[in-house]
Order: sequence, then C-alpha cells, then structure tokens
Amino acid sequence: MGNTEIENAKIEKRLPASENPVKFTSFYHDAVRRLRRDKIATVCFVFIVFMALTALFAPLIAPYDQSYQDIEAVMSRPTPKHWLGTDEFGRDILSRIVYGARVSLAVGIVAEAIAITIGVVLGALAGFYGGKTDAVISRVIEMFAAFPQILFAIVIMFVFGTGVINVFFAIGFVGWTSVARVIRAQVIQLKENEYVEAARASGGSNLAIVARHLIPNCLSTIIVIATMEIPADIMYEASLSFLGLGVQPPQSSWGEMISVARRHLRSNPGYSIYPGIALVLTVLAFNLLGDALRDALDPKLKNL
Amino acid sequence: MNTNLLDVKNLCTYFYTDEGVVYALDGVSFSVKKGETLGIVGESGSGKSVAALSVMRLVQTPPGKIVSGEVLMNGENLLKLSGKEMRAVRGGKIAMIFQEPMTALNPVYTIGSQIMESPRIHRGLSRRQARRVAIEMLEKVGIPLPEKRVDDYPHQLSGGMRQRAMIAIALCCNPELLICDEPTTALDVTIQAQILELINDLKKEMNTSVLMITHDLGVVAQVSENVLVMYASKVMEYGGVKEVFTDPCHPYTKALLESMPAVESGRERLHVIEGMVPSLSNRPEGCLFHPRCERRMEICKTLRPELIMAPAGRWVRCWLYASGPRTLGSIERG
Repeated sequence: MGNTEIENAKIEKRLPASENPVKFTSFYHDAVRRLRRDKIATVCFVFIVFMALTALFAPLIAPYDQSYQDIEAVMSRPTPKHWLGTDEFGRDILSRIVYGARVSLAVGIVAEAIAITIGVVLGALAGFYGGKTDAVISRVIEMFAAFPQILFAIVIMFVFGTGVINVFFAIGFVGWTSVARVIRAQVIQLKENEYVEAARASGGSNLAIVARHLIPNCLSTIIVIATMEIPADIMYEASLSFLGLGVQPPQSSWGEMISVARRHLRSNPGYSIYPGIALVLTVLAFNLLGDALRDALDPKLKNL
Repeated sequence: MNTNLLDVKNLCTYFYTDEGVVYALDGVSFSVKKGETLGIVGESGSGKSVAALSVMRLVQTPPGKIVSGEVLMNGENLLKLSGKEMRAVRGGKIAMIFQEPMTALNPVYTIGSQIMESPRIHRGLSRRQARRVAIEMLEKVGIPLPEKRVDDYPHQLSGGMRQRAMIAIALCCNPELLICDEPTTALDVTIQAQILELINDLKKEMNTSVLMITHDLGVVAQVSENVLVMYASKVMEYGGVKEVFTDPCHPYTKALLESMPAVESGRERLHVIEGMVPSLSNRPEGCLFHPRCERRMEICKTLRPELIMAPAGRWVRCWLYASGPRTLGSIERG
C-alpha cells in the first residue's frame, strides 16, 4: 500500500465533497463543456432542437393542415391570414414548410441510422478480421462507391417506387460506404491496442471484443459522421423530391415544394424562397454542429 | 502425485513471415508449482512474451503458430481445448497483466465496469453482485475510496493506480495462474516496488501461481522462487533464483548479472555484452550464444548444446558442463 495514496485518502476524507478541489470529468463531459463554449455550435444546436420540436408537434404548430385549400386565397402574397402566402391550390406555405420539416428530419435521421448501422457493422468486421473478409467487404464498398450516389438513389427509387419509406432506404443504402471506410480504418488502428489483447486474455470472444471494445471506441467518429452526413441526406431527399421521385403530393416536403414552385418563380417568388431558406438553414446548422463536434471530440485538443 | 500447476513441455512457437520462419520459441520447457513464482528473464526478442502468449494461446495465427509441445494445466493440455473451452480458461483459471497500464484499459469504460466484465462472464454474477466484487477487489489492491473510484475512467487514475486496477481485473476471478508480462516496466521505481509487493501479498493470500516475465533481474530476485533465463528462443539456464543469481553457470547468465549496475561497486561504465541478439529467423550455427560468449570453444561454433543437468543441480544449455560432444543422434536439430 503506497504511503502517498494513504495520505491522499486521508486528505480526501477530511475534505467535504463540495470542497474537493479536483473535479473529475469524463471524456464526453469534457466534449460537452467545450461544445458549450462554442457559440456557433450552441446556436446550431438550439436551431436543430427547434426544428425537431417543430417537426414533432407539426399539427399543433402549423396554422393549417398541409392539404387544406383556402380557395379564396390562391397564390396570395404574405398576409396576416397566411404569413408566408399560399400556393397554387391555396395551401398555406408556412404550414407546408412545418410539415415538410417532418419529412426532411425523418429522412436525415432514419436514412443516416440505416447507413450507420450497415457501415459500422461491415466496417468493423472488415477491419477486425482483415484478410479475406476485409477483401470481400472492401470490394463491395468500392462497387457501391463507384456509382454517383444520387444516380444510385434514383435507380433504387425507380425500381421500388416513390414514397417516404423507400426514400429512407434509398438514401441509407447509398450512404453507408463512407461510414464503413472510416470505421474500418479506425478499427484496424484500435485493434492493436493492449486493451483488446487484455479483453482476449480475460476470455472475451471476438464478437464481444468488437461490440464491447472496438465499436464504443469509434463512437465519437460515428457522432461526427452522423452530423456531417445528415445534411447531405436531407439534400438528397430534397433532390429526389425535386425530381419527382421522392415524397409525393399532397404530402409536403421542402424539395417537392421547391420543385413545384419553380414554375411560379415570377408570380410568387416567396413560394420557393421560404422552403429554400428552411432547407439551407437546417443543412447549415447540421454542418456547423458537425464541425464543432469534430473539434470538441478531438482528444488532441483536450486542453483547449 | 504431480503437484505442478503448470507444465510446459517442449513448446515450439514459430512465426511464418515473408522473410522466412522466425523461431520465437524453440523447445521451451518449464513448470510452475501451486503458489510459486517463476521468473522468465531475457533480453528483448528472446521470446519471453511469446512464451506467455503461447501459454494463453493468444499468439496471432497467422503468422504465428504453436508448432509442437504441450501446455499442461492440472494435467490438462490447453493446446487441445476448443476455442470456447479456452476462453473459459482465459480470465478464469489464467489471468494476465500487461506492461502498459495506460493502454491496457479501455478508455471508454469506467474501471468498475471493466473489473465487472470477467466475473460476469466467468462466474455468471449479476450486475449488482459484480459491482460489489469490483469494489472489494479495488480495496484489496489498495485503491483508496473504492466506492468512488469504481466509477472513475482510466484517464482519471495515475499510472500506478491503473496498474493496481489491472491487477484487480486480473484477480477478480481467483485465477490459479497469473501471468505478468513486464508489469512494472512502465512505472517508476517507487511505484514498481509497491506493485511487486502487492502482487506478492495477493499471491500468498490467494495461493496463486505467478509467471513473471521481465528483463529486470532485480524484479525476479525480489518476487520469484525459480528463474528461467531465455536467450534467442531457447532456455539457457533454469533453476532456483538464489542459486542462479549467486552462482550462475551459463556464461550468458553471468554476463547478464555483470551488466547490472551495482550501487557499491563504483564502476563508472557498465559491463556490456558484445554484439546483439541474433535474428530469430537467421540463427547462428552451433550454440546460439557463441558469437557473443566470452568462453566459447571450437565445439560451440558447430554443435548446438542441449539442456543438461549441471553439477550445480540446475538445467544449463552450455558445452562447458557437458562431458564431451555427444553422438549426433542426441544433438538437437537446428
């Protein structure tokens, strides 16, 4: 028993907990603290939470239903009755933007969850087992990555038909390769760590080592990838809907609104500008938050 | 009645690389009795870590392979067990402590949950029971305020504390054999002494056998009963610590002991063994140590000596103690 440690124990016992000068923090605790100091990240985070709440409570927030038609005010400019005006069927644009947030955020999150699940599992297996497993999975990754992603998504939508659920899978299915590549590289690096050998020496099976030790250590990378890829997925959904392959009317989505509105650009520019602003702000918020998260979770910057 | 806990017989582990076969372990035999400590010493690259990994069957395959030999634990050959049975042995009957307490703990889990992992696998304890075991173990290894430390992350502990936590992880399932792979190399001298004392105390308390792998002769002298001196994949000398250290038989052991800095001698320069450890894929003819040996003879250059019982009552691999060259049949294949 070390004397200094006994001394420390005595000292700590003497001090009441509140006066204990050393405040221990965990890795993620530190990251959150660094993130909160970053003003831009905080604003983005608040905005994303705001958008998420909007999407969640869309029926309560939106002044009208997304398909309600006000026959008396078709293509109206912003009025006290319709804050952002109406479209060619007299539907309230603000309401449609609010409902559109549902589709955009859902696509961003669900599609990315699909992409991350496939990517993490395959990437971790390729990195951990190496050899033939790695060769096969890497070739599959290259095959998927060889196509332009949007083209691939268009093909999937074409084959399986339009609709929100298919949009999830189409985007998730094309997005997993970048996740898999990063996770594979990180697992190759992590598996050389002694704690992996220690886990094996204490009787852990391969699967337990991958699931319990390697993937949790990739968590910060996964978080960063997610925040960087979600806006890309939102853009893909907008693109697909713009091309008429995604969400179908009367259900609203930002991409679908912009697509229809381009025909009315001269008579009612607000019709395309407002959903565009919603799209740009959401994508920007995710991107900036992703940047800030990458910095906050970087252990090399720990003392900043 | 065989009282040996561990019997390693003629163990050979080779690595098949692009540059050729690396003979990392070549015909190594030793045994450990219950409650006894065996020290394995040798320079870097002498095969001591591979010996530990081979006992645990953790040699990376490929490129490594345990080519032949037996690892008997309580008479059961570990090399014959299935992967699943072997996993039950690891962490249950045999536990291991690693060199770097900094990297051998997973940074994303608390100390407590890492200690709890193996009792939950091997003893089927519930989360709450395992947590109690974890706190008890932390107390046993001398970590103050164990109820609080159990929820700390590795980076919140100092190096010595982390090594204590490692020991707690290793010992929480009451293993019969504890393999320590250079447990104190990364620690400073005072902490080193504390850790060794701790291992010694716990060994006595739990009647665990210890395999202490180190290049520090002082550590071996302090904790072990027997010592195995390895050089370039082979055992050079094997016997009781006191006898080997006070009266070394093999010229290599002698040279190693002379290379140790002694406080009282007042020499300014340390003794150096000329040359380098030979590459294990391209070993010299004859005795592996002959290019560096101060007492080499003609025979050493051509024929490999066998491990024989020297008059001093211990095993030595040196022609100095052999009564003339033997017939070719009894000479080991090279």
